[in-house]
Amino acid sequence: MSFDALALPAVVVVALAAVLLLVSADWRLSITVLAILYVGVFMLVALSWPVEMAVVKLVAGWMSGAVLGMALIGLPEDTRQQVRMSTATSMFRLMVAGLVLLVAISLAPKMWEWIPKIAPVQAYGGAILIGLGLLHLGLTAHPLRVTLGLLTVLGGFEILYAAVEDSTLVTGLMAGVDLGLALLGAYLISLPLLGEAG
Amino acid sequence: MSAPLVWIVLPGLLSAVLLAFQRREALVAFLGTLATLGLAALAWWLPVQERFFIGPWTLTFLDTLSVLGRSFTLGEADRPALVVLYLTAAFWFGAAPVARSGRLFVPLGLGMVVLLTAAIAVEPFLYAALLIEMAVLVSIPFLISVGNPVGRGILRYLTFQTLGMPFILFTGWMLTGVEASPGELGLVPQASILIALGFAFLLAVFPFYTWIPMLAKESHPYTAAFVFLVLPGTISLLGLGFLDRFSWLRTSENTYFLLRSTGILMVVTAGVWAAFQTHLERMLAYALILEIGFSFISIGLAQGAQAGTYLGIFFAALLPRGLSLGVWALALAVIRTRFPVLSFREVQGLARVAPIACGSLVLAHFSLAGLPLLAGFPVRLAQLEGLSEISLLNALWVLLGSLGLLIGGLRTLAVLVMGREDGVWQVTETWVQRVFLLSGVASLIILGLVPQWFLPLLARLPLAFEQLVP
Repeated sequence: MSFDALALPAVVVVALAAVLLLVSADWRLSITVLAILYVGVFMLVALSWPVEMAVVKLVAGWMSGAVLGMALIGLPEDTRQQVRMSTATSMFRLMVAGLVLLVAISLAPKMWEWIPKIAPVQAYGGAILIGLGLLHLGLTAHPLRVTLGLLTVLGGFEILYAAVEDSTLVTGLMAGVDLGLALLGAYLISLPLLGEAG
Repeated sequence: MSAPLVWIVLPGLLSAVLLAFQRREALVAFLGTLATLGLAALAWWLPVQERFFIGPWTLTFLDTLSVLGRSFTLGEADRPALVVLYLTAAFWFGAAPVARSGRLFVPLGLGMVVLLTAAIAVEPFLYAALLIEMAVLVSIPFLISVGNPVGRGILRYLTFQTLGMPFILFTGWMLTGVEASPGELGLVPQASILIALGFAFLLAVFPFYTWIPMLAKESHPYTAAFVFLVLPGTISLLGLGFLDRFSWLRTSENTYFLLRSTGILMVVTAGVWAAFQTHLERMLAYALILEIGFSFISIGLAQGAQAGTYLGIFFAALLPRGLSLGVWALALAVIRTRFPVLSFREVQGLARVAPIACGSLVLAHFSLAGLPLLAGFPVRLAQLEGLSEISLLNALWVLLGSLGLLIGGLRTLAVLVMGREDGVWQVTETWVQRVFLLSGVASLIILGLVPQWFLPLLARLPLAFEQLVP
């Protein structure tokens, strides 16, 4: 099964998803967008790997989203929406995201110069996710947001790394790291509640 | 039967079992200590790749375990590292109930040690970055206190360690390519930048060390000190693996210059911050940063014919560092049971009610600052001697950093003993606390007086790096 035709749409999907993650204050939207982001990651990884191996990324990503979602559902309504964003904040984030997108797009050609095995679309997808993930991390100190930011950065890295490394052990360990991050994120989000439960 | 099964799989399973019984804190600490002591003893006595005869059966103790097409190997050369890692864990777990370090510490601490052992064992060694990241993830639950919001230090620790991993993995791929085909030599500058960034994140190199003081303040000092000790130690082994594996990196003069310069920068900045510090837990953090700086200096001196000597010093420093950090953290934990906030303002005159804890804290502090007759002094002297042979100015800068930590220690001492002249001195620590603290202090003094009895025990560790120490 070839994903070549879907490669460019996948780049658009991951870019839109990462921008939405950055500006969205609603946790439901964030988790949904994370799931969509991993569909894009899967399609870009599938350019280098067999589908049955690439699908591990999709499953791990969706499971990560599910873990975070379950943790958030378990919280009282008033503690879920800790990040309130004004229109001005959203606009500012959109503008900065635009700048980061430009930087990522201009850096991507350098990547396939360094690593000829990477397809141009993979370089664009990876660079965009890493750039927007780092931006996300720089703008927040909330456990959920930090987890989403780290998953975004790792998603970008996984696209790039898939082009050069196809070890089953690494695939398993990377999936383990993604899931571990999500579990830890869920634990950190639930921490105040765990204290009340004793 | 294989070595990875004994030192990775079985303790991993035990960690899960202990997690299930976490509410029985004393029992879990006892079992964790017993298991890690047993594993350290096994690493000391049991030769790998040999046959054993048990009645009619013959057992071969293999060094490799294959998982998903890759291998985990713990050979003869890894045995000293296993002894150090599991012995450290045993000492830390043994005093965990005294330090009241929380019920997750022993089970997850053991899990962390298992993952770090797997990081030492995995082949190709580059994959260690992923296992170290998993160890970081496992460590976070025992670093935070349930019921409180998550602090920025924890989030920064998680972020920096996670960001370091991709750099290491990517660099590993690039360097393997460079080694396989010399035509790719153009990638060397890029790889050098990536590897430097990766280790800067992982080893909390200046300016990425802000999370260490923040984490020290937010977490329990005992658990934080455990992470501060075992994590940089294992990451340093990964760094030495890079030097050992890639000849262009090993033979480049710039590598050693960069390592020494980074070390000096860390020692000086940490020393200056420590001199002006007014919080006991943050002081511990700056002492650790200073120690990481000295590790860089030792590796930076391990060049050419001197490689064996200074790598030996790098490994020899693990013992006084572990001991001093342990005593310091335990003393802080004992003090913290009465004074949750450990700023200078809060702990004024504390030595009059907890003299053993305060005395232990100050002695451990002085030991890490390299005061003569204490455990840290012999190693510190050797490091300064080596550095002064290359550049006297560099040695003076490093001495300035150590002096900063010493000033911090003197200020701590002054704050702890200040008070009214007619105030009554009393010992309020429990008997168990006294025994643990005084044993630690005695060890600090004995190690400082007769270092030749202990430091050769770690002399075999550099042999794991065959290319670095031919």
